[in-house]
Amino acid sequence: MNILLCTFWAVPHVGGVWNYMQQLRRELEARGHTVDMLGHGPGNSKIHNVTRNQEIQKSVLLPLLEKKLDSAHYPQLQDPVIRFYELERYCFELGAACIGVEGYDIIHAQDVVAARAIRRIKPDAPLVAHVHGSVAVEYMLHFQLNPQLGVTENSPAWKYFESLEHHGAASGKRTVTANQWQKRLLVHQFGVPEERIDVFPYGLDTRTFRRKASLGTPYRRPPGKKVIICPARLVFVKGVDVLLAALGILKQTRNDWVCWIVGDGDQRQELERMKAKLALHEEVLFLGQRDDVPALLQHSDIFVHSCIQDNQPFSVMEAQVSGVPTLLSTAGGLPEMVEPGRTGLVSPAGDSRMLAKQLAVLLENDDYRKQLGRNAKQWAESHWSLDRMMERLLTVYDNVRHGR
Amino acid sequence: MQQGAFMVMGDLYNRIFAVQTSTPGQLVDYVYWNQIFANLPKGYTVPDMPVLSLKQTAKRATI
Repeated sequence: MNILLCTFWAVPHVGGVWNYMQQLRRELEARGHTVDMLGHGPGNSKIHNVTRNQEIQKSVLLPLLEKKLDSAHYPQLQDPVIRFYELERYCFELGAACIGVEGYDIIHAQDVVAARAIRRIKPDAPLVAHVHGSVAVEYMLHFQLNPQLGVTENSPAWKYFESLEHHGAASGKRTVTANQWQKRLLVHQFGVPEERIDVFPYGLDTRTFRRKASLGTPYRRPPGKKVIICPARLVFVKGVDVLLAALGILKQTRNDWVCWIVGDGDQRQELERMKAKLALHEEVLFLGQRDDVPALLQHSDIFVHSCIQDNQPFSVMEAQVSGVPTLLSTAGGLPEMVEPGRTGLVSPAGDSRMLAKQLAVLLENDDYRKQLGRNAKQWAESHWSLDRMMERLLTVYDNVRHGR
Repeated sequence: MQQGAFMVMGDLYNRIFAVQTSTPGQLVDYVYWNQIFANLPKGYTVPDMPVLSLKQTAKRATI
C-alpha cells in the first residue's frame, strides 16, 4: 500500500504523536508498504511532505486568506482565537492541496485538524482519523484555569473547539482511539457515532527500547537515594507542578530520594521558580530534553505522571516495560494503564497530598515497590505488543479501503 | 514569495471564498495558486461553515 501519514502539527516535533508516526512508518515499511509524511515544517512557516521533499511556504497563502476573510464579511471570524485557528487550518488545507494527496491507498490523519483538512480537500479519501488526545478538552481546561481570558461554556471560542473536535474526529471512514476514555469522550461529548470508532492500545517497540536502554546514561542513582523519575514535556497539561508540590510535602518527612524531571517546555522557568520556592535545590534535577530516557529508567525506582490530561503516554509504557512502578493521575486514559495496587497506583488529578502519600509508601516499602514493578513488567510485555497493534491497524486500513 | 514569481490578482480565485469580494490590489503567486485551485474539489469553500456554525454536537460533559 501507498500510505500518507499526516498531521497538522510540525513534522518532526517533540511529543508522543511524532514518536507514534515514526514507529508506524518503520513498521509499515518493514511490511513492504510505502509511507509519506506530511505536516507543518519546523517553525510553522511551511507545509511539507518530508518524504517527497515538496513544500509550500504559508506566506504564499496567508495574505490572500487574510484579505478575503475579513471580519466585516465573516462575523464568525471576529473572535481572535477562532480567527487565528481558522486561518492556520485553511493554510494547511490549501498547502496540502498544493502538494497533493492523490494516489494514496490510505491517508492516516493523526489529529482532528488534519482529518478535517483531508476530508475537505479530498472528500472520497480512504481516510483514517486517529485521535491521540483532545484538543478541545485541553483548551477547555486552559479556559477554566485562566478565567481572566473570559472564555466560558457559552463563548464562541469554547464552542468552536467542541465543533472542531466533532467534525474532525467524524471525518474519517474509521476513527481510531487508544482507550475507552477517549472513545467515551468522542461519543458522549463530541457526538461522534460510536459504531465508527475502533479502540486498541498503542504498541511499544521493546527491541528498540532495550537497545536504547543498553546505550547507558551519564546519570547514576546517588548513593543511599531512590530515584523518582518524571519524563514529560514541561507544558501545562503534564501537571509537573503537581509533582513538585507533592515533593515539597514529601521532603518534610523523608530525604532518601531525588527526582529527575526529563523534558523541556514553556513552563520550565515557572517550574524552576517553584522548585526554588519549595527549597528542592538538592532533590530535584531538571535534566532537559534527553534521548537516554530508556537508560535513565534503568536507574529509577518510581515513575510519576501527574498530568492534568493525557491519553496513553509512551513514557508510562516504557516505565512499565522497565519494571518501574508507576504512580499515575486519574486524568484521561491513564487509569486504564494500571491495575491499582498490583501494577501501580492512581491518585486524583491535581491531588499533590495523595501523590506525596503514595510516594512515601513506595519509598518506605521496598518489597511492595519491587513487586508492583515486577507485575507491571509482566503485564506490559503482553499488553503493549507492537505486532498486535499493527495487526489491528492493518485490519482498519483494510476495512477503510474496502468500504466496510 | 518566490523571487521572479508570476503574480496575478487574487480575485481569480474568488470561487473558493464563501463571500466573493473584490480585492484588486491583492496579488498572488500564479503557479502555486493555480496548482491549489486545480487540486481542490468542486464545492470547496472557506470558511469551513459546518465547523463555524458552532452547533452543539452532543451532551456537554463535565471535564
